[in-house]
Amino acid sequence: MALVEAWNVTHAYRRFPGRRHPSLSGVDLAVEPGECWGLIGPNGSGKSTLLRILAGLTTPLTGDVAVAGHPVGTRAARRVVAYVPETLRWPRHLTVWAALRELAALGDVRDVEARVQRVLRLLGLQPLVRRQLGSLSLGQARRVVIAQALMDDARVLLMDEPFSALDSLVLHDVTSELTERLARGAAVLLASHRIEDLRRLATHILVLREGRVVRVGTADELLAGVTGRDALVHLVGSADAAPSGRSA
Amino acid sequence: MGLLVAAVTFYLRLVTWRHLLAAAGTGLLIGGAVVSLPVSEPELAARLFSGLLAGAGAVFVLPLAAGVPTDDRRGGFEQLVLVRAVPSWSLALGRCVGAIAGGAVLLFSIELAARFVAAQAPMPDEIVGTKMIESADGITSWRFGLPEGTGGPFDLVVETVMLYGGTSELELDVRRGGQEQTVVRKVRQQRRLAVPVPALAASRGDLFVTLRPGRELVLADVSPRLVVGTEALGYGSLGLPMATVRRLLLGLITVVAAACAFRFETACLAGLLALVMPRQDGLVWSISVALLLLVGVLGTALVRRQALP
Repeated sequence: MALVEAWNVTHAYRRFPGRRHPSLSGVDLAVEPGECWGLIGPNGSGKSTLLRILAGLTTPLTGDVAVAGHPVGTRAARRVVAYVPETLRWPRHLTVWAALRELAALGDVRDVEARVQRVLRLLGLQPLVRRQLGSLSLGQARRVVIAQALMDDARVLLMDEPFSALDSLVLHDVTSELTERLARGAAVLLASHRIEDLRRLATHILVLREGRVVRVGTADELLAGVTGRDALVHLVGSADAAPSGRSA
Repeated sequence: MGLLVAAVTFYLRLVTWRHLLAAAGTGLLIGGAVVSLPVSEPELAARLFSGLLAGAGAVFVLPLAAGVPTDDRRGGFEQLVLVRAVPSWSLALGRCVGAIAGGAVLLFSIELAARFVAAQAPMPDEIVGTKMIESADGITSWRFGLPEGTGGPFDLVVETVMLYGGTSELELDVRRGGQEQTVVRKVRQQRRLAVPVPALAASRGDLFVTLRPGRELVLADVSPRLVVGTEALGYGSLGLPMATVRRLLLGLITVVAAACAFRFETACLAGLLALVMPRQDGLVWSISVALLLLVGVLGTALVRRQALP
């Protein structure tokens, strides 16, 4: 059974009463345990919207979405999902420790202290544990965002540009952690502009353009011979209308 | 468990050392206002105190409570909360409980600081006169039992009723010991006079005053009072009426329930409306609170599926 399943998902943002701006059109997706799907596409292609729908934070206009067999947005689905948003402004006066503890406790995490200590070590946040979140640099704050997603054993990790602003040391550790989780049967959906991030982790690639799936396939197929700044053009620009997003 | 966590975290976000310091500062300002304003009656001072305290509670505590969830939602932190397995009802009720606990602590801090200062407000130490004689033409004689060693001068507070407007006179014959002195005071449309009464130095014993109102002047049917000094208002005179506490509590719950789904300004406006609602009996108040909690739960559930940064 696929861990993440989406059929004919459409979404549109309401701009004026009665008018909508489409953001996703007819997206299909099926992610099996152990797979890491890279979502790639130009700005505004719907990557973040798709991740928010899978996280249960946005309701699709049409279509069905299920996570680990449960309808998305239900409590059962939320138990297996961890989410890393692209942008986040932390409450300024909350400390790193307090924020992670609060989120761990709200997520029914067992052994809160141990879990929080573990992610602090993993993301190199121990020197910052008593610092207020408003005083952190962009990279440090980004690490905290990733840390909160790795506190429990979520089976589905939804990560929107997670590696921006991370240094190579932390990036290496996070990548190792994700690889281990994939080996244990987790599923990861990773939206990124950076081909090297996808090359590092992704088993499959989903290419979005203007809310539609324009290309889908394994990472080996789609990223072979693709390098540098022309990668996105190669993946998005030269594609025709897409098949559905079922894994090959 | 989620309810407890939501309550504790909300409480800790509300009761920070910054907010406690600000609350104490606000309380000191309120106390200073009570001390500095020309209020000479303890009841009036107490009403002023409770009015300022209720106003400060509304202006200080309610926006802080509204700010926690609305700021989290605006910044995107709320996404990380809503994506977790905690039920919407736990979140909403926990927030309300945390807000009530935190709001109560902040309000208590304001009151404590305000009471500390306002209790020092000087209030006139008054002796109420005992009527000795009253004649048909309105002349009255009063006795004021002065404690041993009380010197002077004093102020005599007399309530009056002007019959036909304009001006009149009030003549006072003051006797103490073997000494006597007459004081004349012009009265112009005043309902309350404070007439300086001479010390009649070195005299001991009670003070006797005969009041002779002029034409068109009638003394009110209230005993005159002799102000012999000042005394501190005292802690016992000050407090917050229970009706005001219930109103503030309703405002706090309204603000938090509204903040679960709406913007900061909307939540504050809702809280303000709750504060100015007519007085409610216990049953209506309880039903209002229950409905507000329901609004909070529904609001959280609704926002949960649309929580965009």
